[in-house]
Formats: sequence, structure tokens, C-alpha cells
Amino acid sequence: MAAGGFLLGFVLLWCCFYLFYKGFPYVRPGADQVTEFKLRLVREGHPFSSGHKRLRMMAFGDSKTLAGFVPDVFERTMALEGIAVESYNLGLPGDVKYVSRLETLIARGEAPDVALLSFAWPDTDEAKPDAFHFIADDDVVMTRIFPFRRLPRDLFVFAGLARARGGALAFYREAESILRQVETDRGYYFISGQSHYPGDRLPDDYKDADDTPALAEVRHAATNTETFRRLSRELADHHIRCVFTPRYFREGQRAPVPDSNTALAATLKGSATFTQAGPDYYLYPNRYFSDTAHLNREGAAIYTRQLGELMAGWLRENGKQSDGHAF
Amino acid sequence: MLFNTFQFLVFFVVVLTVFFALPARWRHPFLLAASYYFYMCWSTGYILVIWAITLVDFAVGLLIEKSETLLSRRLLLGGSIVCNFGLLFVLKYADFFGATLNSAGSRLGLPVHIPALHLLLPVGISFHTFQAVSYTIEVYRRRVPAERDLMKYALYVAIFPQMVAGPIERPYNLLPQLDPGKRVSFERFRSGLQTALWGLFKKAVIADLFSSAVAKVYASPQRFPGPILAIATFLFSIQIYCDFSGYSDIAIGIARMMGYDLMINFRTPYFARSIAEFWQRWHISLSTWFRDYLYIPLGGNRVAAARWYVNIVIVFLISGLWHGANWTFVLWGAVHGFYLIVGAATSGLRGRLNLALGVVNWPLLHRAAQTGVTFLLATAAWVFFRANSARDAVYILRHIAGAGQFHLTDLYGLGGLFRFEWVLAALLVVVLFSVEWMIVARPPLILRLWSERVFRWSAYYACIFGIVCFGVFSQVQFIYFQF
Repeated sequence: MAAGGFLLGFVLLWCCFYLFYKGFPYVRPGADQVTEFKLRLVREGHPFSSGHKRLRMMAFGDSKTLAGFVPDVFERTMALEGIAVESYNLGLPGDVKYVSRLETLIARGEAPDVALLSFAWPDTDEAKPDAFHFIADDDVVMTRIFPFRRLPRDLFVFAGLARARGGALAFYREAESILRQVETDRGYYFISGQSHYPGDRLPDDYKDADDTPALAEVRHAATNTETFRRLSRELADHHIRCVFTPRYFREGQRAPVPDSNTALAATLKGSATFTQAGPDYYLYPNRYFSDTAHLNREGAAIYTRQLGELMAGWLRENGKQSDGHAF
Repeated sequence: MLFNTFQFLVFFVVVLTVFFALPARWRHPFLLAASYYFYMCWSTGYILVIWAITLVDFAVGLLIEKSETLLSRRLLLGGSIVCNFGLLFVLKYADFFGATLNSAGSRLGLPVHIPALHLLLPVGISFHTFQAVSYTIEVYRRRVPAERDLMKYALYVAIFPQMVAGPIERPYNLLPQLDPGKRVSFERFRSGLQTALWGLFKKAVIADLFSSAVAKVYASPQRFPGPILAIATFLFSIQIYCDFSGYSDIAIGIARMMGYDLMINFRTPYFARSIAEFWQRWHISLSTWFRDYLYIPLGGNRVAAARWYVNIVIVFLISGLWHGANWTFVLWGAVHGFYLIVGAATSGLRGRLNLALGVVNWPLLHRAAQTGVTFLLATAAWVFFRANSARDAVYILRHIAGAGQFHLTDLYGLGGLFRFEWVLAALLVVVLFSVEWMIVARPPLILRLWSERVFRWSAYYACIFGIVCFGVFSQVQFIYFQF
């Protein structure tokens, strides 16, 4: 009897949390909303609207891509170079597993002609479930059972930010508009939540404990994994090219790198589908960053223009694939 | 398989259901099979180590009992100890001592080169080795009869709740509980569930919340100012307590749900008033193991003062080494040995000083000061335990009190902890110490509150939804699993 009462109380509490969570979806951080929006887009949406009339390019990566690649700017830059492009920013906060999303898009016929990659796939394949390891990700399971589990944190952050944004109601409406803006900006999202500096500009003298000005962060790609082999096959079958494009850091955050990563180039040599363009990353002054890791709007425009010019040059050199299929 | 995973939840629900559904005589064979499966989720091949330890000590126990001369019993005990500790040495310490000898050789210009074995350390080997050794010693001392049922003895070594990180059981406590026909009651089941739930809260919510910030700072302490080193060290002292006592509570709780009583492993250690008392409250199953099987045989404190101090040092150096094959652990043990010796040597002086200063007239203040100092000493010693090297530990201790350039906002983002997580962390520390203080100072109040259903259920709901909303579920290892 008592156990039944306890369980009933538990179910009631679950329902209360769930109703609140569903009733006020915009108290969640913008990054979570954007993630949900983009994952839905991958599953059932249409990131490209022009069919195949223009070259379709999609940027994959983490929050740096999310806050750095501006499709409008990229397309304008390419247009100035005489190349008609339609682009989309599929950067997701904390994402390192974009391969499955690319595969979903390929299966749905929504894949780009060129995928712009910030970094490579994981070095090792995901372990397959077996008798001794049958649940891989507890966080996913927990979030499935208790979708509202981040609600206390979200409410705390929301309340903290709301004070500076004209009160709870005004901030809620502002948050509500985020998704419309992301949709308009085709996946680009300015991460304002982590910006604590006037004008969303990091001070010129800012230094972080994680900075390693003498150390370069060099990219590499594991080509001996099943993930790589499977992806290569699928990309080749659908005439899709993957290009490693530069990421970005603050000046002083990492050491400068050469114009090309020769080790990565050697790894990818002979691959019909994977290639690299430009250096591993660009370095920008602090003023172009809104927080320690992400570009502000001005910085994003500069970075995207540089990417556009880089990709225009790359396209002029690689206008056709090895089988003669034009982009 | 970690206790704080869904895989373990599924495993435990299945085991519990089948365990209660089976007739009594089938329960222990089933539990043994489940325990082996549990261990094989960590390392399939090393189940052979468990089987080897089990068979050797089972046979030695029988032989010791049959032996009539002291010499043969001693030889058999010595053989068992050599087998158990020899295996432990090869698997855990061979590379450490090899590297130490190589390093010493190169400094002295000697051509020493002991190749590294690079063996994967079997999870929990220090725990089940000590548990197995305690069996043969107790049989040798004729405190327990040799076990004649291999299945029952195998379960003593491998019963899954305490298999990988203790509590290190004693044969006279656990073996009698492994007789068939043992019944459980709803009260015991509920009490076990409560203990396990509180343990999971301490592990998933408190310990794992702190772990990333601690790891970040301790990975390269030279990059952080004194206040952040101090905060990280304080967080680690909370983390390691919640991690290990959380694990112990889960182990004790799930064992109790199945009808077995395991040893209490922690009794509010951070409320100890001296380091000696701290060791009566921290990792009790290990400290009593060393007391019973090393310290007392060495003579304990019933020897001349100098010899007593030597005994303390030996015990704590070995205890440090037990924790890990690294000099940092040895230093950690040495620091505690030093504390105890200084504490014992100055006991009379401190008593006279307290009398002279009139501190004894303020008992509450006196107790609070003693508790605070003990906590600070234990926390300072944790620096050696957590640091990646002795050099890092010394650096931290030299700079921990320095002011450095520090703003509160420097904490934001440290190890993925932002403003919310820091507020939560502060709140959790208050909750933890409040609960522990009530256990120490107001047990009747706790009992009275606990008898109220509204309070009890509110506590359950708070615990469950606390785990759901604030718990870390990225499979953070228990710290003591590596030992």
C-alpha cells in the first residue's frame, strides 16, 4: 500500500516536471534548442531549397562551426568569385559524431555536394553492444526517461540571464525568436549566453589558463577504422566530397600553423572523397571573440569570408571529381 | 560494470528477481554465476585470476586445518601469502619497482634494465587478494573453520556487491551468511535500498560533479593560482569521500537487499577529531585489516615508543603502496604516519596546553577546532594522493596558500563547471555536511524525523530527482576501482 502510494507520488512528480518542461520550452538554453532543431532537420527537414541548381555545401562541426560559419556571408563571397553556392551550417554544440548525421542526410537524399569538416571522425569505431556491454550511453537513456532532467539548471540560467534582458517575459520571447533566427540564418547561431564582456568582445589582453601559445593543435584522421571505410564508400557512391577546412582560435591560444598540414595530406592522399583545403586553423585577435572559444558576429563574418575565398580557390582547382562528375 | 550505470541497474533487477524466485539451495550457485558475469564485464580473461586465488586458498585452508604441526601450518600460510601477494606484485607492482630500479641504476651508472611487463591491472585485485588472505590467516589462527564447500568459498571471494572495491570482508562475518535458507525481510530490503540510494546520490551527484574541475586543476597545477589550487584540493577531499563511501554504501545497500550484511566502511570520517580517529572512520575494512594482520603482529603499541613509531610508519607506507603503484601514494601514507607519530608524541603536551589555556572550558569550540584541524590535515595529505607526481604535489602545497591573481569568475568554465554548477556544488557540500553532522551529533533527531512518512518520502523524492536532474551519467569510474 505504502509502496503504491510512493510510486503514485513519483509518477505525479514526473508528470509535473514534464508538463512544465513541455509548457515552457524556451527556458532551455539556445544551444539546446538549436541542437534539437538541427537534429529534427536532419531526420525530416530540407536544409537545401534550391534542389541541385546550385552547389550544395554543408559545414559540419561543433559549437565553433555553429558560431563561426555564416551561410549568407559564405554564399556572397563565393558569388563574388563567380560560383553559385547554397550552404548550410550543421554545427552542433559539443558534437564529435557528425558521421551518423551525414549518413542520414545521404539516405534521405538531402546530402550536400561538398561537406566542410572542422575535424575528423573519432579515432576508434564505436564499440558494438555485446553480452557484457549492452548499454552504451547512460546519459541518452536517462534523458529519454526524464526529458526534463536539465530543467533546474535551465531555469537557473534563464533566471540569471533574464535580469539583464528586460525581465523573464521579455527574455522568454527573445528566446522564442532564436529558432526563427537560426532557420533564417540557415544554422548559424551567435552564442551570446557565454559572453560576459561589453559589446560581446573579449578584452585584448585576455588570456586563458588553457592557452598553449607554443603548441599547435594539429588535425589527423584515422583511416583504419570501419567508420572511415563505410563513409568513404557512401560518399563515393553519391559523388560527395569532404573537405577539411580550417577551424579558428584566438591569437595566443595556439601556435601558428603552416598553410597546409602535410601529415594529414599524406594520410588522405589517394582518397577520392577526402581532401583538405588551407591550414588546420586561423588565428584571430581577441576582439573577434565573444567568449574564450567562439567568434562574435564580426569575427564570424571575417572567418566565413576567409573560408569562402579558400573554397572558391579550391573549387577552381577541383571543379570535377576524379570520375569526371561535375559538382 | 559500474554501479552508477543502467547496465548495472538492469543486471541487478534481473539478479534480484531470479534470486528471490529461486529455491534457497539454488540461490548461491546463481549468485556466484552472476558475480562471475559481473566481473567478466570488466575483464573477461582475468576471471582466471579470481579462480586461481579461490582454488589456492580453498585448498590451503583445508590443508592448514588438517595440519597438526605449527611448522606445516606456518609453511602453508606462508605459501598462500606468497601466492596471493606474488600475483598482486606481478600484476600491480612489477612495472613500478622495475622502473624504480632502472631509474636508480641509471643514476648510479649501473647497467640495470628491467623490462616492463605492461600488464593490464585486473579491477579490484587488491581488494579480493586481501579478502582471500584474511581467510587463510583466520583459518591459521583457528578463528574460523576451513570451508568445505567450494561454491560457498568461491562466493565469499567473489560476491559481486563488494568484489571490486570492498568492503574487504572477514570470513567470520561473511561466510556464515552464505548458508542456504537465509531469508530477507521487507525492512532489510527497504533499508538496503535507502543506503544504496544515498550512496548513488553521493557518487553520481556530488563526486562526479566535482571530478572534472579537480582533474583539470591537478592535470597541470602550475597554471592555476593558489585559491584555485585550494578550492580544487577541497573539492577532491569531498570527491574522494563521496566517491568511495558512495560506492561502499551502494555495495552495502544492494547486499542487504539480498540479505547479506557487509562491514561498515565509513563513519563520518570528516568529523573525526584527530588523525587517529580519522583512521577509525575512514575505509574501516582496510584499516582494520592492517590493524589485525600487520600492526598487531608487529607488536602494535605494546612495545617501546620508538618501535611503536616504526610500526606505524611500516603500516602506513604499505597502506599507501596498497592504494597504487606510485610514489605519490607512498608519500601519502608516510604523511599520515607522520601525523600519527606527531599526534602520539605531543598528546601529553597538547593536553597540558589545553588545560593551561582553558580550552577545556569551551568544549564545543574545542571539538570544532579539533575537527577543523583534522579535516585540514587530511585534506593536505590528499594532495599527494591525487597529484600526478610528487613534484606536482610539492608545487601545490607550496602555492596553495598563495594569493595569486584570482577572481571568482575564474572558476566559471573550470572543468565544465559554470555558475549553476558552482552554486550547486556549494549547496551539495552544505547538504552533505549537514546530514553527516546530524548523524554524528543528533542521531535521535534523525530517527524522529525519519519516522515521519512525509519527511522520509520527501527525502526519497529529493534524492531520486536529485540524481535524475544533477547526476553525471557519463560513466565516471569509481576512484578506488583502480586499486
